Amino acid sequence: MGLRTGIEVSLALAEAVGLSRADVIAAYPITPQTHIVEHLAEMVAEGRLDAEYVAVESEHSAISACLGSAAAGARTFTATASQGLAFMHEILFIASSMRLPLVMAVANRTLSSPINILADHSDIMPERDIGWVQLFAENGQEAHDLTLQAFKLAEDSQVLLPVLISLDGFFLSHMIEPVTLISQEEADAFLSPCTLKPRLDPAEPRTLGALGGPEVYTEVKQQQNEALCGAVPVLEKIWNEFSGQFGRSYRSLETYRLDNAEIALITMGAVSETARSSVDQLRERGIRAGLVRIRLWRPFPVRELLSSLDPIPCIAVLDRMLSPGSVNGPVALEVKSAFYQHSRQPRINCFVAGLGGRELSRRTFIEMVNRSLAGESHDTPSIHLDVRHA
Amino acid sequence: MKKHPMLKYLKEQGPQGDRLPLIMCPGCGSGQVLNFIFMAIDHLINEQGYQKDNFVFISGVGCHARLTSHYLNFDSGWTIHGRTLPIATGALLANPELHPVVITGDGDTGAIGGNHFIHACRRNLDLTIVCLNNKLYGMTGGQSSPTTLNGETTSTNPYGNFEADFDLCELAKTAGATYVARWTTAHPTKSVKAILKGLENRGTSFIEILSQCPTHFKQSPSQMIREYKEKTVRLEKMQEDDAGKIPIGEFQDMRKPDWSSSYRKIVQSVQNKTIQD
Ligand SMILES: Cc1ncc(C[n+]2csc(CCOP(=O)(O)OP(=O)(O)O)c2C)c(N)n1
Ligand SMILES: [Mg+2]
Repeated sequence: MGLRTGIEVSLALAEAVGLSRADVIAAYPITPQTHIVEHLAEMVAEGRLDAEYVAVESEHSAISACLGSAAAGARTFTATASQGLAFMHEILFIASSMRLPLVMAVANRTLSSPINILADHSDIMPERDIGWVQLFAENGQEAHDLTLQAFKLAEDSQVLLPVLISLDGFFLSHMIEPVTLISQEEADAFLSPCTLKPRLDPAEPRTLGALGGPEVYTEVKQQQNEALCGAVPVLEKIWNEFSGQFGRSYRSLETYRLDNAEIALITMGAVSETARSSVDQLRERGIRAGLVRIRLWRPFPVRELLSSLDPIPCIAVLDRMLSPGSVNGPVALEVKSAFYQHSRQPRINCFVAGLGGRELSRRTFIEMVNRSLAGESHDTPSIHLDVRHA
Repeated sequence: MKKHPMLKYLKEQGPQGDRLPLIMCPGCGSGQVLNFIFMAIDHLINEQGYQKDNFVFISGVGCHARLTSHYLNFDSGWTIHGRTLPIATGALLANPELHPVVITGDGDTGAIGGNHFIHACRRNLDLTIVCLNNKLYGMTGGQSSPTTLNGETTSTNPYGNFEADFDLCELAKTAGATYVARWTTAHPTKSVKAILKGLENRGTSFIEILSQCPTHFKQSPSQMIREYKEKTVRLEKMQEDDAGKIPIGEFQDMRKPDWSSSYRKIVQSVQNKTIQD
């Protein structure tokens, strides 16, 4: 049995990379990701993890090194945040198009300018079309578990895609939480050694990423999308297996007190715990609120979302990114398009809040619920909460 | 109490409130280097008729970059990690009268911005780069940088750095910078003079200042400054048994047309030709 202990979430995630017996870690430091990679550097230096740790000179190089390492058949990990993720941008598409399985943790932090090191989802949301499986952790246990699951998913012969795990910077990455750490035997029983067939193999020379003109490009992209969507049943199988072995169950989204709800909040990441306690508070006051927390962001779990929200008439979505010039934030856009052409049309409001580390308290969620129930029109663009005017 | 003469180049108040207390760790070398830069600029303004508005400060990201933060009383841009030089290049090309003062770190220039660094030197753009080398990534928690010496321990090399390090001055010189010098916070007068020469040089000037980070090296600042005296040797006095010591002094001091004059020359020659045609 694993050991339940108080541990910083970054370290719990790094420990899971160790338990996965990663072969290559390439990273460049950026707040708030640093504790993850420093802990890995230490594990490698102390001989606890038999891996190559490459302290590269930028994130562009980090993800590029990962590309090479995954192509050579090694179990590969990196982590970044914010500007670092943005700097990886062009390579992120290449990793998925080349179908290279690797795992990355993103300690979500906002983007410059102004320079700000605190959490929101402005870094990850612009990367939603990179073709990776994208998961959001809510707490330390999840960050630990998802990491192990991510390697298994990425390397599955049906999938062969990169997987990323988002965890809110500081609010999650730097928290000390009780986590049941998986033991090495348990991890080995769940995740077999890396048996990736090297894509780069001297016995079978081939060129990765060669020219693909209009006659094949569309088909390549179609196949890539098929593979990404096809990752869902594999992930579900992995989650089943995981819950069988560890007793902790995972789904593409988590629901809370949706029974006979008159309104559902939709959230992602660590703040969902605050949202859950707001739901309790609202219920005590006689307001029938509930919560859907999205764990699997890509591919987007449309069917699960629609069925879990049935028949709730009112939905309040939290977007932790301001998408300038867009009708709504990315999460609300996704939710609204899921409902388009659906026989049932709930009222859906998009609330933009919690930018650049601004506190999201129960007050925020209660305001979202109150304003939605008061009939704030869902034709309006996003509602920006807690904006102070000079 | 008499005010420090360089305080005129700082604002008392910024958007983040009062200037004091400083955000730098106690004993950090950054404040000393800022003072060196101000002294050089002050000289140019008082003795040579330069205007304050001729200067623009550009920094990237790192502890050093905070020198251009809220309290600097000059036009400045606190930009992104590693991209100081392209931004300074743009400012310079748009207004060749400007003197860009690029404040950068060993990571900002030697790691993530390394490519821009060699190309700025190659072009001999008329700008002055002041690199605060504390031999690690200070801001993110003391990880190894490309100037961390072989064998030194940092948070990413707990048992010592096994990689080779860069000599940023040799790199700048080889890449084509026309004024290159290395001093330390233990050499204030030399540092000021080097920055002054750099600002006066029409071309790329690279001045590296070894600047102590007592926080991450877990040493006393005075000890670190003392070591800057003891563990360095003047370039021109280097002997064979000085191997292991850090060379300081001027690595390059030569004249060569800077980017803007070469550019103007070719524009003029083409214009003359068209007129004759
Ligand atoms: C693209 C990107 N990657 C990483 C970071 C995180 N980061 C901020 S400062 C820094 C290193 C700074 O080192 P150096 O340039 O030596 O400056 P110092 O803090 O030591 O003065 C890093 C890696 C960032 N801001 N942007
Ligand atoms: Mg540094």
